[in-house]
Amino acid sequence: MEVEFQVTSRFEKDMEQFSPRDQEIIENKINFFARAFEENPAAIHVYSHKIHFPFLLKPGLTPSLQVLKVSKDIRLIATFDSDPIFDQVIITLLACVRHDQYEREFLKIAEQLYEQVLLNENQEDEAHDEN
Amino acid sequence: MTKIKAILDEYGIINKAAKDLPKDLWDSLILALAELEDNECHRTGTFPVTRLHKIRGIKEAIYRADIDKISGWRLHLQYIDKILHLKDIICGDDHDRVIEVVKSKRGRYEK
Repeated sequence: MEVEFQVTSRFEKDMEQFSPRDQEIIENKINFFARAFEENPAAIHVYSHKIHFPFLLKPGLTPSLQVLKVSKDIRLIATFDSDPIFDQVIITLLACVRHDQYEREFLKIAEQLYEQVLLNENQEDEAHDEN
Repeated sequence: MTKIKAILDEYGIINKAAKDLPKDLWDSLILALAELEDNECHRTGTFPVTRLHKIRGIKEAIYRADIDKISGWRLHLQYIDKILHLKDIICGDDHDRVIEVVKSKRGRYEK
């Protein structure tokens, strides 16, 4: 199965903020995560932060957005998607931030990414009523 | 006869299309479904009509297929056990949020 990396403009700008040494660390870690996901998609959760996903997606949908620890100070925000029709894994590099920023940036990115698939307010109220 | 990839419509998406899709796009819908059923397209990984691709950010194998590029009408499908399931038909006015991807790399990431 092939791995395709999709690099966003936001990620490229973030990388420019890091030293060449840190960029190399980030690069190596990205490839490490890619290999881990390729071998076993479930394995990526071992490396990802347990972060509360603040939105309710439409029924049957699970977010693939992850925050991964690159180093003590650096976090990677990316999506990891298996693509069975094209027999590949797609890793979308969304942001790379300092550890004290990751929660705020994760929320911003999740809002943008899932705008189309969020449960609308009426459906969310019905779901809560049923519970 | 062309080898066929099965498509299931258990949610009545074709029925919904008959009501909601503008009549001038009905032919486009037929051509889109024909391409999605075409096993040769699946074998080669090329879908010139529908531009079929995985929706990123969702774990499930959910795909987007154009009905008409200009109007933006499209289908969402889920790939389960080698069968495509029609999940939704999306109006051209509801734009997918676009993540700005500036480049793609295969195999190994390098800056």
